[in-house]
Amino acid sequence: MTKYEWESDLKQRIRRLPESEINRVLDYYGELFDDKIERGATEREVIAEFGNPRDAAEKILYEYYADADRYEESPRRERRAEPRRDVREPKREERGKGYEPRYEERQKTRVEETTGVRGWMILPAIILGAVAVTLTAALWGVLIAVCAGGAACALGGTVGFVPSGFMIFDNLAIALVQFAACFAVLAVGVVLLKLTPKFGRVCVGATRGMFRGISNMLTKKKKVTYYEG
Amino acid sequence: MDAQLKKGLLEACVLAALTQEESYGYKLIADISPYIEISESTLYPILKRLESTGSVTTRTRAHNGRLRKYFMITDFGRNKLREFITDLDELGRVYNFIYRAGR
Repeated sequence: MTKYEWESDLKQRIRRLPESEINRVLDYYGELFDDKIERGATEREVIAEFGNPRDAAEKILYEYYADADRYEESPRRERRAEPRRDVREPKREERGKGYEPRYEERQKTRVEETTGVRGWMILPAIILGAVAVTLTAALWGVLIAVCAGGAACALGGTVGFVPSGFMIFDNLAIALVQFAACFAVLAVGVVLLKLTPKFGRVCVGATRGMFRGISNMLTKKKKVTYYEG
Repeated sequence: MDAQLKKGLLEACVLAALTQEESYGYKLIADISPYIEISESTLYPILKRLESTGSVTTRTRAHNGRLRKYFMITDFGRNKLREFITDLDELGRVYNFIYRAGR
């Protein structure tokens, strides 16, 4: 096994860890590798001394997830790197000279870069896009209906109070019924109008999701972290 | 040797190796190996743990055109080592007890 193969194997096994941790591991083994080579070992000998990448990965993962119940890791989603909360940061009085905050707290910028286009996805993307656009348009249609209906009911209900008022002098019973009806219509209008912004958010979310989904289908992206210092 | 026992011992060994001067990965393994078996993959989590609990600090220095990470013991680390030495006395008594019973 070459150094490159060994490192690639290890990297593959710990790929779920945050990028900062992966880099730290690779730096560690890279440094040890260079030190051994400097003292006359061959690449083959060093890799043999390193042992099986599987064992190395096991130890790394075991230590990282030592407090496993604090980490709800979904294997499919990439987790944001967070400083370990189970470990106590030494208090000011306890810190020795030259204390440095943990790796994770260094300044960093995360950037998502587009690395290419998936040409073969264009046709499926068009088909899916058509379906998505139709569904999303339907959602917006419902939104408009709810909004318009709500407005109409609210307006109608409010306006209806006026003739009902005059009705009192004519026929009290009918007037009261009419009042009640106007209230009901007004209430329906208010409910529909209250639902409108909530439903609006759903529509916006769906539209945004649709665009993002098509974009993700068509492009290849890579997350890159830049460190300061 | 029992894994848990060994882990505690190795942490103390690393701290002991750092009391006089700062050190780095390769050198730590070389200094500790005569006393107890320690591999590259075993050392990594130990160093990580010592650093995250504040027993050691690190800095990167250039060496022959490449970067090397140096580890230094902190006052907190020195305290931890002192605690462990106290444990060793107790360990010695237990050791004698077991040793005599086992013969």
